[in-house]
Amino acid sequence: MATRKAHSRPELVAPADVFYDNREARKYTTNSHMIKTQHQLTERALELLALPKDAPPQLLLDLGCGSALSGSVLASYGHHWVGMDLSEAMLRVAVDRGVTGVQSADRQAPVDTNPTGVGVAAPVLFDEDDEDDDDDDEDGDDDDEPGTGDVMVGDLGQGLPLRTSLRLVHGSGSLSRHAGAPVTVSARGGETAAGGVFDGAVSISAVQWLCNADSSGAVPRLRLRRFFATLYAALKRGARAVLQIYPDSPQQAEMITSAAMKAGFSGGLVVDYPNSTRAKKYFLTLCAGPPSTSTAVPQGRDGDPDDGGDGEMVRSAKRRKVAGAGAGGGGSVRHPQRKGGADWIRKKKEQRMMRGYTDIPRDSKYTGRKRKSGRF
Amino acid sequence: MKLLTHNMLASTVRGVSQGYPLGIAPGAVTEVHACDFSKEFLVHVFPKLEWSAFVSACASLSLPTMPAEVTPASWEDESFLRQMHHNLLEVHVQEGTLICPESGRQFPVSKGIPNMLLNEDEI
Repeated sequence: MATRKAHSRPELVAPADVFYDNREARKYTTNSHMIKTQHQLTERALELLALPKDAPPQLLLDLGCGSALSGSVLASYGHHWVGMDLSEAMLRVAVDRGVTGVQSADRQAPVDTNPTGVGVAAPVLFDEDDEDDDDDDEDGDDDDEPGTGDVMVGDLGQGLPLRTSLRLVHGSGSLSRHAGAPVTVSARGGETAAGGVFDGAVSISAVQWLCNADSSGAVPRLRLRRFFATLYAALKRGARAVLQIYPDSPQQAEMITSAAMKAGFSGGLVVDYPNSTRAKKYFLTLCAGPPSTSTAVPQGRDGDPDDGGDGEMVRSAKRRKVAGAGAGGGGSVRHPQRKGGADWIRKKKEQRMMRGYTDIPRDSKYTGRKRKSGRF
Repeated sequence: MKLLTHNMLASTVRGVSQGYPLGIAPGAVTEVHACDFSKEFLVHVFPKLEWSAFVSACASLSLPTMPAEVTPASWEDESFLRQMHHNLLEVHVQEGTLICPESGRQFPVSKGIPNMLLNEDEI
């Protein structure tokens, strides 16, 4: 939601619901730089989300959706999404832009379907081309919102107000559920009552807001815990969450990452363009479920958008290797290398790297070697 | 707010164990806005839905009723699919109140946006 401004971090100025008032919300949504940045970040987040190919439209969460600049991108791929944000002013802008499909009086979009949709003899009913049309307008032009989104006011730090799974004790509807589900569903499989229902979650520049104590009662650690616990419960097992964050320090990145791991997520931080100060982007890529080969964290982009140096390629390669790290501390069972030895030092460095620290000395042939004399 | 979203929402007020499904207070204002029909999505989203909650939400908005039972034959029934699509995705609750079934806490829906914010003592 909050893209970093030239001089300040909005999250340090005021809470999101105060900072993004009507004026700021309009300003944000009409700023072409913001639009472009949000668009790119969302595209990248979707890529990291690794949704199954040739799947039907998915049901996604957009956390800290703001004025739904990100939601428009999700919708352009045909997905349905539910967005949540603290700032009602931003959500109003989103609704006025038509992302939920509600057309405001001053902004009449052409209606091409029978509004009731009932009893229409529609020869194109099961025409696959319907979908393709959606995919084609992925240039994100605002005039043509598919309206597949929906938004609500909520505070991520209070936890997501979503049901966790199929909660009702067998009503008649629940009982008939399995009998009624068409064969294709069970064939596609994988969705059991065990997990939540969402196929994935994205969050663009929002989660770092949770690290601020905006009121006397707010404890960032608890807010992060509630957020990740409810997010885990809302996602179906094996689904991914890609949270793009702007951590203000390595410590903050570590705090967010470890809160996610404690909630049961596996995954880690993907850093795009680690050598560029400006283009560097952090994506916390999480998988709701135990780690496996399929949940290995993808590698960050490198090589720089504006042709920076490639001297530190090694670092992102390292980070890649660290990636698949497991949930809940997953420390090694075997005895670690001798404390203070070169292997031990490398392991510690990897650990710190995974937690998002950037001030790690690079490895060399001197790493962990004893000094020759006692001079230093 | 679409009924798809309503089907996912729960009250998380402190002390509430389920908080689901949220009731829709009588007198809710709804609008209908068309949305592209996709059978694929309906089939995909169906196992995710709490069907009985959806049926009762339709009833409380006096929408055309959905069958309590969904049979494999329903998926070949075009009018059923159209109706499900309409109720689930095209009906928007614009103004109204959602009620937590356990605590009775009310969540307002204003201009189509439900407000699920809790007070500090409710977390």
